[in-house]
Amino acid sequence: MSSITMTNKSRLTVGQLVIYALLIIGSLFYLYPLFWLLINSLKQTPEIFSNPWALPERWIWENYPDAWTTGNVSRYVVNSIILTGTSLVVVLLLSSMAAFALTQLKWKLSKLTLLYFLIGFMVPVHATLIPLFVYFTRFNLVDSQLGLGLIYSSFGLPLAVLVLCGFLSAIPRELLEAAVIDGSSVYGLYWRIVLPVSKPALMTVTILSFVSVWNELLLALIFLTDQSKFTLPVGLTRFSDLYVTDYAPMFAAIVIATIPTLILFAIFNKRVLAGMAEGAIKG
Amino acid sequence: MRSRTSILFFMTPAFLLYTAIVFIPILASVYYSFFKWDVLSPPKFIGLDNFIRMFTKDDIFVTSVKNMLFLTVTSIVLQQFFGFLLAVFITSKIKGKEFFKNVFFYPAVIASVAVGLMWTFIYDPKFGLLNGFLRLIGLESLQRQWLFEQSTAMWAITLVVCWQYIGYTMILYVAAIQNIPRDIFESARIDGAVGWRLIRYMTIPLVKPIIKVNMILITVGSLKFFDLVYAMTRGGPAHSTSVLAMHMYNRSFRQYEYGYGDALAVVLLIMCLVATLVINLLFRKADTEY
Amino acid sequence: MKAQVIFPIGGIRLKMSKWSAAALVAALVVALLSACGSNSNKEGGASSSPAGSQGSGDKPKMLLYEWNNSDSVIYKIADDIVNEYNARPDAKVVMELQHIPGSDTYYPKLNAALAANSGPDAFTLHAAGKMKTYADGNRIMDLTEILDSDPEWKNSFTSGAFNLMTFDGKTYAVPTAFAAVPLYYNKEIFEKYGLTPPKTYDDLKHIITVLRQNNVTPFAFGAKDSWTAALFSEVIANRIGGDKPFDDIMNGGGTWLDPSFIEMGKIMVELRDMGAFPEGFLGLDNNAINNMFKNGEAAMFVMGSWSIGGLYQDDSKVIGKIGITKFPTFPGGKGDIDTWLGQPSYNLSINASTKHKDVAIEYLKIWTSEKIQRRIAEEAGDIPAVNIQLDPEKVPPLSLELQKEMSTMKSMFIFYDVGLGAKIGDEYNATIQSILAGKDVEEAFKALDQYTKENRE
Repeated sequence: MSSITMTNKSRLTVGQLVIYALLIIGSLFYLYPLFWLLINSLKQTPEIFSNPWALPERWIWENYPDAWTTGNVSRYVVNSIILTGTSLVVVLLLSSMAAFALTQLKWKLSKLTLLYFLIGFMVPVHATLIPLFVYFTRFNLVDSQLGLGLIYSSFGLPLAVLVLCGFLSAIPRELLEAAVIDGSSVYGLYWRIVLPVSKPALMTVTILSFVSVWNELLLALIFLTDQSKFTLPVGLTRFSDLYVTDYAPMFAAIVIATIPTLILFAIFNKRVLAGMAEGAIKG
Repeated sequence: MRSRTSILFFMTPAFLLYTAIVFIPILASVYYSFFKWDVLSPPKFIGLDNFIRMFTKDDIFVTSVKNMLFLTVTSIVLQQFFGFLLAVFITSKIKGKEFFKNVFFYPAVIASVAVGLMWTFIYDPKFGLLNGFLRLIGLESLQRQWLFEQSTAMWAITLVVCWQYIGYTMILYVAAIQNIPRDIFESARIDGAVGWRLIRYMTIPLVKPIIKVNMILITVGSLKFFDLVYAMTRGGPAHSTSVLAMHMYNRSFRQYEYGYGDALAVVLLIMCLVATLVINLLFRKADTEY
Repeated sequence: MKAQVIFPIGGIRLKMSKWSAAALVAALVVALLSACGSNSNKEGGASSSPAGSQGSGDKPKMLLYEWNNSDSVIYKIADDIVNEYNARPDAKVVMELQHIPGSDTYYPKLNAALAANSGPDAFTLHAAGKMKTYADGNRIMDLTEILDSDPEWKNSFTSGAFNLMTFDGKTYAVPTAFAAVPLYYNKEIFEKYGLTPPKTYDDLKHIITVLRQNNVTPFAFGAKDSWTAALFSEVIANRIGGDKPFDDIMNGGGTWLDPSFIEMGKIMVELRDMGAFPEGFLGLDNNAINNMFKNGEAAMFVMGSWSIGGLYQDDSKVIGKIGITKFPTFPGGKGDIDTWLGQPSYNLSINASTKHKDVAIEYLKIWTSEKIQRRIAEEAGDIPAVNIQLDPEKVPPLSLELQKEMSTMKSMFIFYDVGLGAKIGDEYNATIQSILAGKDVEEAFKALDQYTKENRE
């Protein structure tokens, strides 16, 4: 009884212990591969194939500076960040507006419209690649970050709209009704009520959309020609040639690419939790 | 308030961008599915031939669809269950929420090429971790060529897909759970609802919209999945682990049959639409209001 | 902040505010996107490069594609060629070279560009069936007259160089290097067990048995990348049946049920069951087997001469320990031991709609000039396409050995998937994979035969 009503900070309940145990076991299952990636990024590629699980015979630290300079990873990381960042802003803005309309302003065809957006999510990118490419060439948007940014933004809309609709549909009516009574316009509703309350949802959509754009390879590869515009995934292809791939330095490049995103997530997740507290108090 | 102008205002930007850049090319693909086109020469109209061929002569198509469906159903079960479970754990009274959230999510951020290679090594029959572990605990007879035997291949691939994407499902559930106002939980607890009952009668109904969202995401995501299959087995040996998107890729890009590839995409699209409509029907109950 | 502007006060004011807010959103989006657009414009020069567009300065740009990655020697040679040309005062264009490593990335990009009519002016292509698709689509220029009008150039090529890039009497590309498939063997391992390079299949079986007894993997072999297993099978098929069965198929007839193919299938199975291949070979891709051999973990390797470079890199454990020999003969086989599997490996074609025909031709001639061909042979270790005398001191030893073995070459046949084009070629590769995975040999070839008949163009 006491463990339910009086949570004594220094005593763990059985339930909590079980949860911790399961989480920790699960984490090992997830962390080991990251560890594997790290140690293999410090080998020479053939050693990865003869000794995948052992620590490196010789620690080839050079793989990292090599990936950064000759691999031009620094430039690619910047390009990826700019591209991903801008697409994210566009996606967040446009999808939140659309989700707001679809869930709060409902009209006769709103369900159909949502389905309309979902169609974009149902087709693998390869199918639309060629028509899109021909189309963009005509408008001179090939080999430009603007063009690729537009593509990422548009393709990111279906997912964002779907997820946001899911969250926005749960906003309590009373909140909105009270604001309307207070004389708020539709735009005010959107800007001052819905958006702040949906911060956690927005952060989540940010993370999900980020992930889809950050690792996107095919479109970036086909649409970009100028090396100075390459994103990270395209940059990674330089480690493969017609026949073989040099995995060790590629892994180093992947680690370099993943670490900043993990840091970003850590920051975002903190924000999400902060937003939760805020939202919960408001609600 | 719900004036036509305001609706237009909020919908138009997204609508325009999406239509111009996503929807129109999709229409183009549907258009080309009625043609024979190798991209290098002008397309040739062949009506429904691509579709007829797909359903009567293409064995790889049948295998791909079977594999794709297997992947989808298994992913739905595994990801929904574990994604939700992890979210419940993470949002309970424990320390290190940040840490665990990141741990389970990071595979989604790593390039599929690396994930695929990693797991190919884990599954390697001779010096892979899995068989090695089995040998260690004396279960040598259970060893397999995990990725290349008919009976285990798709399971092996599906597990890796789930491994990579459970974090996705989990993150959505975490956000959903944390969206539930504290006082509701408090009042339920005071009423004596605890543990499993709390989850079953409070949490799940309150996150229903997100269950539906995850259902759609996992289903459609699995139906069109490609990356890891390519990285781990290339759809082999001899197309036995191919999925529809992989088959489409091969036909379009390796064998210069874009028209046929587009026809496969149309079939995929229709399957996704059907799945989404079915999911919608299943969730027809009104959204929870509180 | 801005929202305050949109306050419902009066009818007209409301409308204007709404639209101004809408305009603001639109402007913001456009501004953001153009910011990164102009970013790229500032740094990268022109934002698109269709053939013949205006580039920096007043010279038009000429776009070139090639498929090597930055570690390869050919990549450096290509860069050097382009830089040298661009530095010339009489240069008529600015050459821009794009490296797109990996054929799964190269071809989609090339095809997309061609589809949009913005493709490169000159580019590399695989020969035979793969190239024919481009010829049939009128995408590459017929070079026959160009070659005929410069006999000195045409005759500088080794005999038969254009065989696999000539269709209906028209030549569509020039080769710049050749690759062939020898049998590599690890001399150290062979010495250790008292073995000598096999001349016949019985010799080979003996070698395999000895190696297996000593727990050594006989062949670095994998079937995950089906083409690696396929090339192994193609050599065997040729040794058994000679050139004719495959030539027939290439010419539109023939049959996969020819006894030589069936026998080859059975031999592949026999080798597999004998333990000639590594454990779990179905999961080994080209990287795995190249690295396996580089680590000295397998005694033999059947692979193209393009692997020679890798064997000399400083992460290789077998530098100086490798020998080269011809693949052995089979009892009663019609194939000649001096027939080689190979291909012209770096072929240059010109875009049929290029605006820079003369410069493109010059570009091709630079690649086949003595100076560059010498570099290809000496630095990359490839087999030159042009008749030149090489300095044995400068060429990698394995390349020399290969050339010695090939000096008595009677004919060369091409990889099936290049020869037949991707549609049928990929199916052949998959068939070999399925046989190795357990499918019945006759059934597999019957299915392939059926597929081939249905998919002939």
